[in-house]
Amino acid sequence: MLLAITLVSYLGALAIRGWPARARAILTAGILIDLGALIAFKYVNFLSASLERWLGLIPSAGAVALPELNLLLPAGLSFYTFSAVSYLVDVYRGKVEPERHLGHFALYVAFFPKIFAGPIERARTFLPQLGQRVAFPADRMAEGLYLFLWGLFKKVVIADRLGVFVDAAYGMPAYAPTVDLVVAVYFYAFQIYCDFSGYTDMARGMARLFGIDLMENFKRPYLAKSAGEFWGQRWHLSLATWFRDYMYIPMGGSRVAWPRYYFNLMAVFAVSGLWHGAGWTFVVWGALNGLYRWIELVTARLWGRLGGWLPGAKNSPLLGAVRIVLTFHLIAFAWIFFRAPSIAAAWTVITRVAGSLTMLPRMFQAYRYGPELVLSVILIAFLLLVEALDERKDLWERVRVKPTAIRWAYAYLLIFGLLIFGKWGLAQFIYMQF
Amino acid sequence: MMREPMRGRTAIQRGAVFVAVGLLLYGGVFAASESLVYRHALRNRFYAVKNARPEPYDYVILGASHALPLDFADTNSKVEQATGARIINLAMPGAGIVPNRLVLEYFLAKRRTRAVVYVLDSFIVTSRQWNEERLTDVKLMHRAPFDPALARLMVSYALRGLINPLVPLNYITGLPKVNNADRFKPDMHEMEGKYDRVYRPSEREARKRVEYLYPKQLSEDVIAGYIGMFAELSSFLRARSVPLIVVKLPVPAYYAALLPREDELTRRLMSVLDGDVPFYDLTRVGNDERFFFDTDHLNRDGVRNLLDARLVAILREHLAPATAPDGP
Repeated sequence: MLLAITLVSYLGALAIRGWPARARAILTAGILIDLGALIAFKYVNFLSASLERWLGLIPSAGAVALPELNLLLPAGLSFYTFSAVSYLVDVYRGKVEPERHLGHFALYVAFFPKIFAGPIERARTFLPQLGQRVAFPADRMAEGLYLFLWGLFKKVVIADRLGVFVDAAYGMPAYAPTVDLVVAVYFYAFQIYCDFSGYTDMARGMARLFGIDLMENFKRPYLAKSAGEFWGQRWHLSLATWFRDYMYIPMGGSRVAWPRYYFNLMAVFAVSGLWHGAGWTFVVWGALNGLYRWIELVTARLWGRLGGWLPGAKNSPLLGAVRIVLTFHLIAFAWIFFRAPSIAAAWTVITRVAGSLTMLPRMFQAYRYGPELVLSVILIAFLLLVEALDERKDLWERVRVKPTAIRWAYAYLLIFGLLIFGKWGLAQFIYMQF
Repeated sequence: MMREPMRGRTAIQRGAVFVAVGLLLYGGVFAASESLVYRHALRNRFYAVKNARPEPYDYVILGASHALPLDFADTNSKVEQATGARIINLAMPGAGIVPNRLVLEYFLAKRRTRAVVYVLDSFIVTSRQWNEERLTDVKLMHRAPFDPALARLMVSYALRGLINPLVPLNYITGLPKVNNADRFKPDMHEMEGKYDRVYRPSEREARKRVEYLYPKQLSEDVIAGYIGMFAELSSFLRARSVPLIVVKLPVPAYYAALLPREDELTRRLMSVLDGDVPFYDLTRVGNDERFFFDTDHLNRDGVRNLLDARLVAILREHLAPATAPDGP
């Protein structure tokens, strides 16, 4: 599949440039083949099962059995098909020249650090790096190693540790103690972040050792002050910008009448949800985030006016902190649908927690806090501290100018953190499933 | 202020210093983990051997998880009181012939025993998982104190292809101890917490358990190989004049019925041993369902019943000749 998509996109791009009169038809064919493969492998069973269910609701339709394709989903398919599609569109738009070196192009599609879970690189930033003579200055190598270590730390020490609590609670949400469900909801927000951004940091660190820069995929997402900022500027940026450039803007973006604008937004979020997984939970998760954006747009003028009346409050750190906390809770709430095995299970989590809200303080008082839970909370606090420092000034920029003893201490902290607290051999990366 | 870019040789020198400092720090972490082992270890079999009393034992008990309840809570000391024998239980969960042989050789390198009781299960001859690969389970190494003698033994096993090379590597580097998430918890197998429970039988669970223990397809070559190893274990003991006693402990009838080729495998295992190796099949002795805390492990009442019914008598019987006074 990887070879087929590479060849189709490689030849497609050359054909687009070779036959300008047929460029649009060639582009369409290329996209259909690339995305067709993704649909065949990932969505056919979901679509046929959904259709069967809907047809079953029509009394006259009788029992319907649609065909299924029991194909093994190739690892990283969602990521490299999107890279391939973006390349074809960029060649068509004239933003990038078609790559004539098949080896370079194949490396763009399948560069091993990023193949399983991104970032979804753009050809215009990736391909020019391949032709260059690479130097390996020690500082750059060190930066790559630090990045790799930090990513591994986030995955093995934080994400996989939190995953134990999350899996236990989401495994049987109807029977899990309510406090465990609350803990799981909070922990999952950090688990998925550390899991996914950990992979990205490792990929970026490894690529740097080969002299290649991959794009930054995460920028301290839980410090976002709105859902718009979270999705537009901080979370899974390579996917967010992909949807912006290749779906949202071609649909008209925000430069259309407001009903269409709102529709465009919701469509992008729903499809982005579906990209993550062939299931209704992912669609609901995407739509919920779309709803947050709608609410922000509807209330934007109100907040603007309030800011005008209370100019001091607009930039107050307290208000900023409240907005960060509120945004985090909205995002964490949406993650319930992302993590739960079904909508019914997600609903069980929500109703059980909501039904015990007033009793939660007492429940938390009576809760038995094991050392693993305490360690998990300490690690989350450590993560947030690092993120807060990073927000003001890039952490590597801080570290690299420090004396050797401090830089080494930081490296040893990560290495020994991994050795002492790492949860080894437990779980694959969450985003590898997509 | 920008740093000067490092030249190749300087970078290598600094890298070497970084590794050297890292190794020193690791030494400290290793020592701290080792001290925690001595503070919290209890049931780990390698710890038990290293800290065994110097006087000779009467019985070493080997086997897999079915033999573990004989060491839960205060059971071993009760058996010692009832039989007058000194007993050390070295059985490990899921341990086949290879891990049992390893721990036995380690024991015999340091201490003596008058006899070995092997608690037999047929699944141990069906897969590498319970033999060569078993000790790659880091849980079995979490509380294994460092001992050069054991390290040498493990390396020799690895060189002969009897265990995965990861096992000595893990043991010598101490990674399972350094990375032990339960480093401050008492050293007990999770099953010990269920020792007083009475299990409500579930055929589904029993089936899952059997599927876990036995491979889907039993390979004749694999079975023959491990049966041969069992015979070697017997020869190894005979060469040291240590008698071997083989025992099968009770399992519920519904569970026993699910075990594939159980009678045949038991018969073949016993057939390769010398005729004078005593074999006690206690599978059906006190195998009432109320005597188990899960699908196939005896609970406290089950062990008590087994001891009263047969086991104490068996242990006394094999103890008797050697403890008889010498001469007229």
